[in-house]
Amino acid sequence: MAQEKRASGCVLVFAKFLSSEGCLDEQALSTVEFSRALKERFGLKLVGAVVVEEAFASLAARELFARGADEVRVYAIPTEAVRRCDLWGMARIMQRAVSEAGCDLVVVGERSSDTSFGCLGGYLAGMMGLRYIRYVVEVLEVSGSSVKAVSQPEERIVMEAEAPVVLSPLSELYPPKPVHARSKIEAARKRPSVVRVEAPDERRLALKTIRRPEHRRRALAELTGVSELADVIRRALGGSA
Amino acid sequence: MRVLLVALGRSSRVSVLDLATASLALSRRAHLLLYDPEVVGEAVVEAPENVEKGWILHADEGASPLLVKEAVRRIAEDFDALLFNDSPLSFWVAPLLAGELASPLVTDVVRVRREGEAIIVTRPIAKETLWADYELIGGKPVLVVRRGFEAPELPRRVLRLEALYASGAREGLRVLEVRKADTGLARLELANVVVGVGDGVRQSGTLYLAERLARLLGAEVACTEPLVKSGLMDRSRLVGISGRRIAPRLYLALGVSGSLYHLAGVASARIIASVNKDRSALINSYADYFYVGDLREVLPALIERLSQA
Repeated sequence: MAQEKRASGCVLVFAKFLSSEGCLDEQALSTVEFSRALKERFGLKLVGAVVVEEAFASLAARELFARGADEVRVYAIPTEAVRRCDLWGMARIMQRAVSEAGCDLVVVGERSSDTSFGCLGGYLAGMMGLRYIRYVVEVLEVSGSSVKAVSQPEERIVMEAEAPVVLSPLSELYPPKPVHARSKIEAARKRPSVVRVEAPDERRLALKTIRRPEHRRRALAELTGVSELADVIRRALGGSA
Repeated sequence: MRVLLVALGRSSRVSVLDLATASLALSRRAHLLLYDPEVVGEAVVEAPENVEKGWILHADEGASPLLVKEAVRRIAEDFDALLFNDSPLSFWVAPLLAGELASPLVTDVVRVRREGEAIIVTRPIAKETLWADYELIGGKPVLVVRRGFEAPELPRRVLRLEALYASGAREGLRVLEVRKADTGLARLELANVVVGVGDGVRQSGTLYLAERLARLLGAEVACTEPLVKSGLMDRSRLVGISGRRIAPRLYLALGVSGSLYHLAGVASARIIASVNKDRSALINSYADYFYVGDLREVLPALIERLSQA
């Protein structure tokens, strides 16, 4: 592993904000909860980051503050840029955020991108030459030079990665806790830093059409008795049940 | 265009047809790279005829995803497009590689086509309610093909895979310990029949009946997120999130309401049958057959009927 270096003392978490609903994405709440657990366990500063239209900056920041962020950085993009911003564009903005925050731990949720489900963290790590641990169950140790974590893609693996490292946790293991009224009141008094950014002109994907799915038509037949259900099962198994 | 099919993980062999079919829109010929940590030595796979050559990657026990990624990257230099299978390891390696290469990356690909020189890929969006078509721009496309990619019947043959050994420095990411868990996901992916248990099973206290039914049918048991969160079932049985999708002949959903992510995980099942006490449960709109009833009454009766010769 690399030489011991001074720990940054912070963890940066990216949270997806749903403009259409005016709140953080359901899974982002778990990602933030995971990050808050890191903050409490290792005494880290929690920096929340969100890429959103400027009109929603305060709303997004308030929610992050209420859920334990010590600092919030909003990267505000113009509304017309939202649709244009693909995985590449989003990763470029996040790259800037990671460089500016300088944290040893970067946490990205699994549902951070609509176009590449569960891949934004890995894509960002690849772009920046950072280590990446996915399916994180638990972080065991954090030092200035390395992070030790348990990952469970299929088997359970203990890994040590050179810091800085990008983590994607298993969200179902970190259900969000309720937010106390006091936290909300205190959050309303805090101010995020807001940086206006443009979506990069360069893209890797161009959206052409949005359409109805071509699902195979299902019968949607309602059965009226358990005997019918048993018959369906037997037929599906070729009469072998 | 030279296309490399990359199948990673314990059930990589069953992905070969998905990948080979998806590649047909890009090229009539493809190469295959397979990595299954449980395969030792030479290997053969059944592959469609458009897969003309293949390799099996070997690595020491405890090889990190970084090492696998490095091996894929070295081979990928000679190819113009990479198609990965739908597996947890692919969802780890593919984005890392795509980021390094500054490639267009799309996951959950359900359609691939050409429009002149342009490559158009389709994936579900908005929680599976819509499909979006994207044109890929620049770079070496990296696609993760969804399990159960609709495929015509293609003639197949036995393909012998050449052994390849992953090597190189392991700086940056070290595996300290591997504990082999229940290979639930691999068994689910290979199962002909899967019984899915949802929150309705948990609420009605009928998990033991669902498991008895599964044993009777010779089925594997899958579950939805509430069962994992409650500690009733292990995460290896969870279906519906990235890299965890199945395509059995029969998927029998018990007390499953039908979160769209879970439905995406089972959409490739040939037949879906649902039992739920709520007629308006979303899964009933995606099933071939559905029965409205209380699991506490339905399951004992169903077990009795299926037990009769």
